[in-house]
Amino acid sequence: MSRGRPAPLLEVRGLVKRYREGEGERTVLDGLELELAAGEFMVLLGRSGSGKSTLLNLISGIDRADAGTVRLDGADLGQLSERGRTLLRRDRIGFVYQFFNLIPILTVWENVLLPMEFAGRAPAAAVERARGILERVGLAARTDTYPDRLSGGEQQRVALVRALVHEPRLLLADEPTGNLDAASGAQVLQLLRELSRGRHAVLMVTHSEEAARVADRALVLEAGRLRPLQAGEP
Amino acid sequence: MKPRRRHWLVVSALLAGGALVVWLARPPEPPTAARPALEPVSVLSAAGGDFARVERPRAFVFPDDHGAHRDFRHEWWYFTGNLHGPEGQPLGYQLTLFRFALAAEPAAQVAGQRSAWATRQVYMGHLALADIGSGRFFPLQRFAREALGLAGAEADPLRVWLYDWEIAGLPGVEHGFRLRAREGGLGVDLELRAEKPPIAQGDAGVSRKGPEPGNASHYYSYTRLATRGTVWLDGQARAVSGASWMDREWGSSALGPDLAGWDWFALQLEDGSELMFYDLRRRGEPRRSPFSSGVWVAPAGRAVTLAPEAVEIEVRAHWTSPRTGVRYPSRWRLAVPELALELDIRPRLADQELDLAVRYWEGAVAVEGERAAGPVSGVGYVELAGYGASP
Amino acid sequence: MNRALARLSRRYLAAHPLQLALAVIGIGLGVAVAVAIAVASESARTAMRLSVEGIAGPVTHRLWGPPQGIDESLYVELRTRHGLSLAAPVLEGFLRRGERTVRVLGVDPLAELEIGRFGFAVGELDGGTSELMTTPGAVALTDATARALEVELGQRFAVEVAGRSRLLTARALFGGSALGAAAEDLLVMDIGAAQELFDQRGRLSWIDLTLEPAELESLGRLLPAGHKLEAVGARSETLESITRGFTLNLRALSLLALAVGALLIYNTLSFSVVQRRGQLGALRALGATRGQVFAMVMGESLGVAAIGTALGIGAGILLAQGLVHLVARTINDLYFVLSVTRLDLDPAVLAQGVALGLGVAVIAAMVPALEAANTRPQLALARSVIEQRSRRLLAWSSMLGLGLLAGGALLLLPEGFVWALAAVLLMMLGCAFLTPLAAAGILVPVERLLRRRFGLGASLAARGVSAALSRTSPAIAALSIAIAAAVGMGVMVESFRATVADWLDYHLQADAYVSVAGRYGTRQSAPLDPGLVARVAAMPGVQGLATWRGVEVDSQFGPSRLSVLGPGPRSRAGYRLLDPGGEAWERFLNGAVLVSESYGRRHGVGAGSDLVLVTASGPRTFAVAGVYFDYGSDRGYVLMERGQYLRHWPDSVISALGIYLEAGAELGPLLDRVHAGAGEDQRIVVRSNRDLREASLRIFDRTFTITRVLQLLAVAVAFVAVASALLAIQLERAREFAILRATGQTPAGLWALVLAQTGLMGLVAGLLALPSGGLLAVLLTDVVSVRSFGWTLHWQVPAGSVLGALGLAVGAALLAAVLPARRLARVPPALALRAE
Repeated sequence: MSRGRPAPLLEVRGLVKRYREGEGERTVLDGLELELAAGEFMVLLGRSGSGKSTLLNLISGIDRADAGTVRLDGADLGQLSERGRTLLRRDRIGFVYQFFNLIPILTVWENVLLPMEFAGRAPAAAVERARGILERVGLAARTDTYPDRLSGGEQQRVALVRALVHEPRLLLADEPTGNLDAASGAQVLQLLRELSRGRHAVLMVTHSEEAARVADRALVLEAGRLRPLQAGEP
Repeated sequence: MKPRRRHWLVVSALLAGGALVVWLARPPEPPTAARPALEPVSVLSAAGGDFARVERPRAFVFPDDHGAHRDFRHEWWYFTGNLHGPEGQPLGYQLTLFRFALAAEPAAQVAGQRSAWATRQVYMGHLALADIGSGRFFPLQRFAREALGLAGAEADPLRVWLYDWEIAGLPGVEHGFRLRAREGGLGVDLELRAEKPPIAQGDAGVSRKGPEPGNASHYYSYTRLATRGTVWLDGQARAVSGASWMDREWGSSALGPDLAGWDWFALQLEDGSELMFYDLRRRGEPRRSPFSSGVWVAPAGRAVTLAPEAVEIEVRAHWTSPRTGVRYPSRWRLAVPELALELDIRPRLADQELDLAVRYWEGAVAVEGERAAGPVSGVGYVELAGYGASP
Repeated sequence: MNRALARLSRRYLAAHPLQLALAVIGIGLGVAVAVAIAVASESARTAMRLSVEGIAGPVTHRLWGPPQGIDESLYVELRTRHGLSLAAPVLEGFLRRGERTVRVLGVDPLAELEIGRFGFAVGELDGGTSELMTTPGAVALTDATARALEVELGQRFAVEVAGRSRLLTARALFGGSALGAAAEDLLVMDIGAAQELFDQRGRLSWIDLTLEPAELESLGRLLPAGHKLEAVGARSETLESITRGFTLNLRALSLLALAVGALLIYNTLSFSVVQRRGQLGALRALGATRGQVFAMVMGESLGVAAIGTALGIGAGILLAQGLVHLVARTINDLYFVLSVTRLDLDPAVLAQGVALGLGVAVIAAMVPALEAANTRPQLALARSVIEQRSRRLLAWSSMLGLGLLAGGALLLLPEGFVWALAAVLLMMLGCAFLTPLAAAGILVPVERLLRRRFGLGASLAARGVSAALSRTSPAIAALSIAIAAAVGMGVMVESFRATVADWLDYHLQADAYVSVAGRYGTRQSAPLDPGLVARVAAMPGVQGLATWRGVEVDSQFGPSRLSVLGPGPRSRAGYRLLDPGGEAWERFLNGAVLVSESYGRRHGVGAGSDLVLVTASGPRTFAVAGVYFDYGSDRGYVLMERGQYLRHWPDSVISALGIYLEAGAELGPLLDRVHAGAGEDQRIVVRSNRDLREASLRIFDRTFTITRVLQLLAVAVAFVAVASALLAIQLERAREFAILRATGQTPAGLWALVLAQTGLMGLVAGLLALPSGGLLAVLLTDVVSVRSFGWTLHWQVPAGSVLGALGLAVGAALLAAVLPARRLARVPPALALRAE
């Protein structure tokens, strides 16, 4: 990575994660390697329980690996404190989950600004940006609504705005369409693609082939490692 | 009718205010309060007896009359004097013991039932020292009841006391006194010997205070008492000598409502004569009360009564008390044409105000002037009452 | 706290008003009880100080003489011979007007004028005060006192002095402002009149002095034997030390209520953390730091506590109004005459209340806040993980509990009453921390049993409690501590009462007792008419008399109560010795003294010790022949034989009589004759042995009223705790219940389930309260009582209180369950299911 090629945004080397399971142990990730360039849109496929969510947790510093390194935007997560990892997550990463994870007692607008307010008052530019993105996703009129008044697709769009409003370097998406009907899913996917292009890298875990098709690259997590998606799969 | 009324006025004010000065309910008006005199009489009558009254002349008998006259409402033993230390340091002193009866004595008491504290006789003492040299003035006050030997008056041998303040006779001296009073760093221990016999004031010892019969007191004075002894200032004993004046007075009646106050002068001149005059000031009336009076005592002891109109007094200066804000006269021209006497009287210390249970000015004065065209000087005491509300 | 998180907190709390309200009430009640007790005892303390210092004015020292007072000639001598100035003689006495005990100070208004007290200054007294000296029975009083005594200025009014009716006249009002509360229930009269009123001619209670240090020394040399100069401050300290044990006890009890309040906050918070686990995970994932989450939960706790504390302080002040009378009455019954008429709202005490409330909130929030901060930043965890975590907590809390118990036990080692109280608190806390373990220990077999006997449905009740131990155990602990306190104090009071009853049985040997009604003086009891004593002795049927005289004398330990006994025929049996045998009684009859148990323990004297008492002729050493059981006063007594007393004190007064009848003589007619013998003049109290015993027990019961009130308050707080815990649990499990409903459970069935669960919690709490209550009872009875009062108590476990504790626990739990159960049963299942 010293030969003129820019360092990748995300670099995962020899990642190992095991879980205790009754008496024994199960190795979920087993020497996994991954590089993700800035601006790249990558999709991860894999069966349930193959370790996709675990990988996202390790990349975002939510969980710690048993072995291996994760470097995000030049920082080695293993070297960071809990607080350091939290701040890295807050400033550089956006999340979109299958279950939206909006705070029900906050309005749409408050939910969107929440991560930035962890760092203090949201900067004016970010507030402007939030308005813009909400407009883009068609929810500008619903800012004072509480999440439980929204449809699933709308909720996920709010979550998407929340994930992007602080201009993260990396967007992690965990089955963002998994809980939506086909039409809503397609809409969310399209917005995700459009809003991301040229701005930040995306790592999306999904079952959806539709999603795999819009990606720059698609990998499959299998037996604790990644391999490229074969043509004609699954 | 030549009462030396100054104490009368003090006490009358107290009585008018509602029994004893110390129990005054409200801040009273000037001492010559316009309230009906003898207000507490209802209480007194209820207590089973009335006070004796001064109605006829009395031939004073000594030492008996030095003692207490408990049938009367009040009386006092009043000493003032100008002294000087071994190097001539000037000093003034006042020691007065007052007796008041809160009520007339009941006819009879059931012995053994009463507490030894039970009494109707109360004593008040004032001791004041004027350290003229250093310009300081120290007034003190005490109270006690005539019970258990805390305070009392006995005629023979003479002993009038209030706690450990005491006026006693001098053993073997017919007209002599020993004064002892100390408190803190202050005190006097003085021996007084009369240079002239006592004079009966007023009309054969009856000093009228108003037109009503019985409104009078018994009154005699020692106008010149050679004095020597010790004075304590700041705890330091100082040998002193000089001359004192003593007044004795008792009675039961109070003061008329028309009086505003009084200025009293007791002067001892170096030619061996003494002059006493009190000027009873009337409320809203520039002329002094016709009951104002005085006496001139010749060097040989002959007494000449001075009528109110025989004396001219002109106030030449005033002094305002920084303590109480009361404005007192502070320099006088006093002339007695019939004696060819004209005097300039100045306080030896401006601040000789006693802001005690009763507020008055009582201070040592120096006198310069002329008598029969020759120069004369002397010392004395002046009392000023009724110039400002009592505390 | 972070703005966004603060907003989140507010929204959450606003969305759960009931939980919030319960937590606020819990902490509020806890603070209220603590503040009320603190304010009440502080007010009593202030009143105590005021009774000494309030009337002191510029006085620096007080000259005391022998118990029967100072000879007034000493005062005269000091003033006229030794030139002592600023000295004021005082004769103090007490009289009754209706139900009120009124303090009387006989003073010399002229001496007071010099030192400027009681408004005896020019211009301050209302007119006519000279009548104090001239009118027999004239008194000066404040407006407030006049109203309280229902007298008007100028009115003659009847009072009772040492059982005799007397007429006084309200002659003057004084502005009590300078005296503050000390002027309340205070009559000032001339000292001569006071001497006549109290029949104390020639005597002064004390002489007040304003002394310079130099004068102090020279005056000290002048004093005759048996006299003592005491700084005014030292006097009030003496009074305070006398009641210190009592007020400390009260404060310790009040902390118990606060501890229960703390459990309540813990409960509310830990539930809110569990309920929001998913949300907290998302917050963490979105970038909230641990510190921010910790601060959020802590902030919630502080917010709740702030509201609760504010309310609690207000409620505490209200509560104190009532408590202060109980405290004052107890002090009057046990120690000395004290009139507490106003609350002393010392800002320091209120600040303490605030600190307690907030401090408790911080401590209570620590565990839930840490738990919240450690929430993994992701989606909600599976339930089993939560309970695994709480299993770890269980191990933790059990260890902590054992540690606290051990620590408490260690604290028992050093002597001293405060240590014992601290030990009690630590050990109760230890019991609270052991609750989860103990609850699990009870619930698991219960669950198994239920399942075997009644099937799965029934066992759900037990499982519901045990599966949510992290939330149920604080509630159980709160309830169980409150019940334990009830049991412990119940056993203590019962043992105490039984002990006292037993003591009265043998102590009251005479067949009838005669004494004078009402309070009389600070340092001596009211005298009986000597003529009456002689007449009673001569009455037919009287075998003999025992006489008593109570005075206060100085000793090497400060003021001591001296009980002077003229022994009667069976007096010996009335005094049981801790160490029976030996010749103690014979030695007592021959000049040695006996001391009561509390006196002995308080001052560390016993058989073989020497005791220095200041007699009328100066200090004398007396041998202590033995220690006897006595429950009359926790200050204790020195008992001296009358002949011995008369040798050292010229005081032949008798204040009480015990009458022994000849065999076959009848009591009733004799009592009538005694009454007749007393005549109209002195109102005496003649009581048969049985009446006196009952009257004594009545006073005993009255004394413990305040303890019972506190018990009830603690239970009330616990009740709120249980209600809040139940509410939390049931709401959390709404979905579970919805499923039950959806699968066919009727609302009634759900009711039954909820009630069964809460009843079970109550039962567990009740069962756990038995050992901890027993422990508390042992500590209170065998340790605290001995150390604080110096009394050995004999154990008495009332069966009723054990069953009562269980019943109370279950009852409180069931009652607390009504609200949540109603709520749950009403919710349609579909709504609850959709809520997820």
